[in-house]
Amino acid sequence: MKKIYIGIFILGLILCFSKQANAQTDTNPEVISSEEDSVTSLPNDNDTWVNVAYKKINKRDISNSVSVINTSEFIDKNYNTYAFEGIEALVGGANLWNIGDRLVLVDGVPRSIYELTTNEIEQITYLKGINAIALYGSRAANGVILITTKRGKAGERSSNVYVNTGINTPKSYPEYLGSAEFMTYYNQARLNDGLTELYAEETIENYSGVSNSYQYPNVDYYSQDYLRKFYNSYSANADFTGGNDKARFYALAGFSKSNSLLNFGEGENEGISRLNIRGSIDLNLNDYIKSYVTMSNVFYDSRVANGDYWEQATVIHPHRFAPLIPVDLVEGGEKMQSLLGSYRKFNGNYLLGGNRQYLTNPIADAYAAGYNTYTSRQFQYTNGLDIDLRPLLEGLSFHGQVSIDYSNNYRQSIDNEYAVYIPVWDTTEDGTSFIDTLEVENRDRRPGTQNLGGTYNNQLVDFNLHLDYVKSFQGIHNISAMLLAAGFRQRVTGEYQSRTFSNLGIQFNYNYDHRYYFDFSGAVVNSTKLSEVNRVAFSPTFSLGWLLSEEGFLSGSSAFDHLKLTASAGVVNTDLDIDNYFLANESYASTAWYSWGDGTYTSRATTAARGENLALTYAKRKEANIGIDGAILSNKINFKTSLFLIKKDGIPVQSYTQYPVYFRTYWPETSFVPYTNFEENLYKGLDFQLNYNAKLGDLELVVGVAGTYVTTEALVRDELYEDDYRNRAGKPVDAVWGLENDGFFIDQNDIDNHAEQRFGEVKPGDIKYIDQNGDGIIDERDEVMIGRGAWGSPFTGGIHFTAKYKNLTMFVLGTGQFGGSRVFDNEYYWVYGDRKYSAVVRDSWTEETKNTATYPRLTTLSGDNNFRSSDFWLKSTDQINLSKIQLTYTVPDRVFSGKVFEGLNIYLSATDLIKIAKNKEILELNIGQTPQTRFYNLGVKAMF
Amino acid sequence: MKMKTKLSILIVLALIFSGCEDILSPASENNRELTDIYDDAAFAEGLLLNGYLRLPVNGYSFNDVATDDAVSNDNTNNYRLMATGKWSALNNPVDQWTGAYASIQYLNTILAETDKVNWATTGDNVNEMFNDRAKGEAYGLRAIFMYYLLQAHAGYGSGGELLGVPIITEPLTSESDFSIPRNTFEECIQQIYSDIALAESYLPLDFEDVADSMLIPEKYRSITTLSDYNRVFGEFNRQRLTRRIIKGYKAMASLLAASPAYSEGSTVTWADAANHAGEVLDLIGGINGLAQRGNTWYSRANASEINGLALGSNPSEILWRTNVSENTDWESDNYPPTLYGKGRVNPTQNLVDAFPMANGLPINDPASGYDPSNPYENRDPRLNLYIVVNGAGMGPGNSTIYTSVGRTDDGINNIATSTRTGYYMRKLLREDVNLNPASTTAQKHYRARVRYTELFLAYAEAANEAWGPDGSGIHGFTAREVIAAIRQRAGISQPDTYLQSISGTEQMRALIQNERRLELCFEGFRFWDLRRWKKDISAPAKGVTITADNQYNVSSVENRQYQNYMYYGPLPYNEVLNWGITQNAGW
Repeated sequence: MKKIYIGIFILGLILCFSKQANAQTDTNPEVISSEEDSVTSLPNDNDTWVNVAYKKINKRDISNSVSVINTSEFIDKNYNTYAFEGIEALVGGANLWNIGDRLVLVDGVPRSIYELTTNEIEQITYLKGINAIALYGSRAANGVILITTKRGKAGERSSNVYVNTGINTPKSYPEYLGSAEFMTYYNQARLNDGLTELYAEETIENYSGVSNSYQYPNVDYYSQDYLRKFYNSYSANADFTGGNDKARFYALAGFSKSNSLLNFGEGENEGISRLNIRGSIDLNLNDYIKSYVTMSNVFYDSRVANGDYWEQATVIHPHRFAPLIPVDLVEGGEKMQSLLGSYRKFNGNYLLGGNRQYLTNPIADAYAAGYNTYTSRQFQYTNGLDIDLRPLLEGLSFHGQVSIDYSNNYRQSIDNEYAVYIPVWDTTEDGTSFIDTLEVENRDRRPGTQNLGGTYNNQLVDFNLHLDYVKSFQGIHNISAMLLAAGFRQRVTGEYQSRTFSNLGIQFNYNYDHRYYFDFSGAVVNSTKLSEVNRVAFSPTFSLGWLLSEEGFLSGSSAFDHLKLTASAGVVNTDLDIDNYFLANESYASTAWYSWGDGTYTSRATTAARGENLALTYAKRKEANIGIDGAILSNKINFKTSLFLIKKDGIPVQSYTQYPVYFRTYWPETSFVPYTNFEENLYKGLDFQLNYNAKLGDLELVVGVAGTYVTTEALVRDELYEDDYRNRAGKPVDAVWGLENDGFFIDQNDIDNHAEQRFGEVKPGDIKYIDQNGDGIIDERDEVMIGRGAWGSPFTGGIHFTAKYKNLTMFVLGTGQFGGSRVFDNEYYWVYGDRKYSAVVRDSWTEETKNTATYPRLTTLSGDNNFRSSDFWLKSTDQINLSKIQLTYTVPDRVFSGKVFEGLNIYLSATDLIKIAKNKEILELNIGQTPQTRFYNLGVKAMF
Repeated sequence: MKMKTKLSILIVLALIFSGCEDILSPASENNRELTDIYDDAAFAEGLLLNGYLRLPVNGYSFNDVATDDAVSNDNTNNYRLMATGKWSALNNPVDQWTGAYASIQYLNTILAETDKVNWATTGDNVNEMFNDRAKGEAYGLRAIFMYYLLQAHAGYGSGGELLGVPIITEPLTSESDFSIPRNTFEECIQQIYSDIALAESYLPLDFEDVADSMLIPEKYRSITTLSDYNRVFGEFNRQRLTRRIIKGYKAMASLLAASPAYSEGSTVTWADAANHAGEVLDLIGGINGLAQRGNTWYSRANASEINGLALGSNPSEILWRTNVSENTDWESDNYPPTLYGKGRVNPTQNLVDAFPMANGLPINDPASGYDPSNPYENRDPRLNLYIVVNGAGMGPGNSTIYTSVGRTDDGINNIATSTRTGYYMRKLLREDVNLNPASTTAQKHYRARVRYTELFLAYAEAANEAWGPDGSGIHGFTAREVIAAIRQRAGISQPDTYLQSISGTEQMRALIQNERRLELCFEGFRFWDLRRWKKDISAPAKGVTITADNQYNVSSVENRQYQNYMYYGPLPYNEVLNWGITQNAGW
């Protein structure tokens, strides 16, 4: 089978190239059809042409399961650098119906969106439906976002320069209790546990700020001592384009830079800088042959202080130590003073503080632990060839494209060690404190070596060749067909196998007078992850379309300017869910080391990694979708919507519950369980977008809404539960599981009369759970579905609004998501043991506050009863965001009279300005990482 | 122009044809299959090594923190969570099922295949001897895993019969029927005995080179050479399973079966248990074989002995042990905070109170001389050997550790890594380890898998039950003599009046159980011993708060949320649900 496949593959290639050779030798310059007749001529007007798999087609001919946005038209009114920002408000189904990891193609090549800025992009196509993705083969099974970059256009010679400066202001910081308040609440927690108070009155009093703050510290990691009010971002870029019928070019250079919020030590040197260069050339070599080249380079550098400031800030209590100790406070004897001279000082006259438990801390780290840099270099190259074979056969053409990408990333660090000083306090006779001696822990050491790590290289080769035939017969029978071969190989550091994709594609389109459409697109896919027996599979898809507005019964009607129905269905084989190679085969390997004779003799255990299942094959996406797309009221309103039903089955897993528990162990890792095509998911839903344009005198208005609603269901799961309500099958794929709470236990009597909760000792003020199976015991068996995940909430969408009045344009973008929820379980919300106390503890349960408490009783123990997945901690992530607002002023032409500039825009924007949500505070708060920010930007666009 | 085009096409072609095979089929990973063991002896032996790697005694579990001996200061410690109410069939930190049956699967595989393995291509009958050795190790390890399975999972089902676990002696495949019912406890014990008998028939007493071919066991003497015999059964194999070790496990299994929790479902008698332990002790000369420094085998005091260990040789206290390895792991976990440790295992007041006075009398004896306001004076020296009390010195610099309230970070509950009971663990730590990051020093450690002291205590316990405190059976020494020797080694000068005053099996039992608690503390025995003896498992763990003015306030630190059915551990929930295997009552 493999040989046959390779045979077909090569035959296809030879066919392609032999015809191509003919094309060259037989070129007859006299056979030139006029532009109008040539259906193969490449269109240039993006308003009507859409990039789809391996070709461009007229917008009116696209299926409704394809959406498109001409990004370049938005950038002047909605300047941004990340092209997917707020996209859910502009394009229906922008999340590709949320089936899984999407494939992003840049000019047809798998590349990261993060290697591109918005102003490099011409158009983004969302290939959602099964028929639209089929030609891309196995890798495209979760949908494709096809990004087309800008190219030069004949006859346009222009240059645009953008300059931006902006500030990022944190939305909110976590609120932690100060030293004295922490101690008070900690004492309360101790009492709750039946223990004695730990902090004496007097101690708390000392820490409450009345005494010396170096002796009795109260450190706030979020104070202005350590953080700026905002950080800056700057960017500038310029593009140039021009050309004629023979040759066209496009070039762009961009630069951006930002700093960080830390305002001390190495924090002041933190920042990110990015430089990118892009260039493309299109050449008409002769009347039949065109060639193009695109190149892009990105140079990305960032630098951060060592030590994880944001994570550590959520961990270290305010009272443990003073991070900086003023030298002035050290009295001591002569010996102490002379020693003091040799100690390393920071920030003027301070020593780094700490104690034996905190030999390092984030503040000292930022001063003295050094820094690390991350460097990334991207190089992307694409070369293509389009040959018109009409001398051979009218309508026949050949297209070939090869891309080579290379990227190299690495991290360098300067890692220093430092001493910390523990003050030993004493008091003078008049009661003032001073530092008598300093204990020194650790030592200052600057090895001066640069450590290199995280080296990651990525080499990619991608090619596709296709032979196209496009012909219109009698102007009503429009036929197009494609024969395709595509392949891809990526080599990544640390991976033995190359990541590969390869497939043959075949497509046949027919439409009758642009009224009735038929499309067949299929792929013969080849996966290196499967055994030879199942390595090749065929994925067929069909689509039908009907342009109703061209029909006699509607063409007379003024109601519909455009109305099209489409339906498609098919099966796509995919290996995306197979995460390794040779999984069909049994595998024994030498793994864990064992030694005896005190390590003199060593050998390795032979362990099984999986059982054998030679029948392991592709997972399948099976889908049917229908869509409608139309325009009414003289194109003032246009709309588009799709409905889809997708079943993904045969998802390969090791179904552990079908075997005894000892068929799989942790170290040394063992599994005797084979991979089987076991799990199944169902996805259904709809997406829509609707735009309204109006012109009222000088005022031009555009209002649009878009959204996607997806419901999912796990149909088959590897699971084993006693009670049906625990089965994941039958529930959403992203279901959140946990116990259902029933408030707090109010007293011991309440506990005694309730089912026994088996998560540790229960006291009044602990969370009471519902006994789902009525067995009188609360344990894991009482967990039910409590919500749906927040990632890809069932509904995502938004609204956009543009108002243009004379030279002033306002753009507003709102986004929203509904139906999702999340268990907020990080250390900020789950406070127990000796965790740092956040503001949530103020609402904790005590005998006195039992009627108003919204947080369980505090505990210094593990609190395992309360701090577990339950709907007590589940919060809805429903939200509406004012994601973007931009005001653009176009300086009137008369100001420059075309001398200096062709045009000049000045714009001011705010990003992530307002969030409306029930749980706004929680949703806007980042714990243990840099805060979410609002971004205010001022920019200028100059056109030359 | 055309030239350029041709060039482009050539480049495209070159790329495609060079890449074709690459992208159509995966690179070979040299994946191996089970049949590869036949011609690769190391690959075959690798199956057997699974047994060694998965032994539950390769490290210390410190499940003592789920007993009345200790608590953990780690909120997330699984044994702590188990003891405080989370123990269930779904959540069983003392589960042996998965690891033991996975090992047995590998051992059954090697037993099924070993005759087909080409173990050696040279030497006289070396292939056969290697084959015998592999069988001996596999049968022996299978018996050991069965012992740990019984300890953790045997129990009474709802039918009132004492059940063991399923006996599986063939390798399972993905097509096997997994509904294998539990055998009775007695059947399991007999399976252990028969596996041990087979192992003993294949293995030498010790892996030591023999100097003279006359010392080669009879069955090999005429068919091999001295060097070939030593190649298979010589010292290079030390620390792997021997007849001596297997005999030790036989004694442990018999002690388990004779114990109150299991005796009704087993035919094993106390005399059997005593004799099986006695057989091992006879190999070291009985009571005279008790290692004089055996109670500090791990410590700085024995540094030269530990540092000198090489090639698997055993100190006199040790029957079976792991490799020595140089590290700071146990100290990092258990040193007090001021010595840069995490203070994890905190001995309880309950355990401290179990140490007698230096004169051998229990502290609650009116004549003991115990002073509650000076509780650590004149105590059994083992108290200071195994536990850090307030004001004691510890660590490389013998720093004074204050567990009293608020004085240092070592003070009770002061920070997350402070003790919760007023005590830190000293046993098993090498105090010449220095954790100061500015001058870290690691030291050699090993884990004693089986100590002779354990077997002496097993003998004393069984002999006392079988023949009374002063009955000697066939081994020539009595329970009282064993206890006297152990107490003498501990520093309680003999004869001690308290030991002499003991009369009758019952009094002696209490003393033996207490000695076992002290001698084997923190080594993972207490949790199972309490269950085997059917003693109180839910005594709250107590600690002491020592105030600045030296008041000693004893209070409960952590309750033990154990129910009566928890004398026997649960079977994994999924196994019961999936295959209909009988669960132990109550779970």
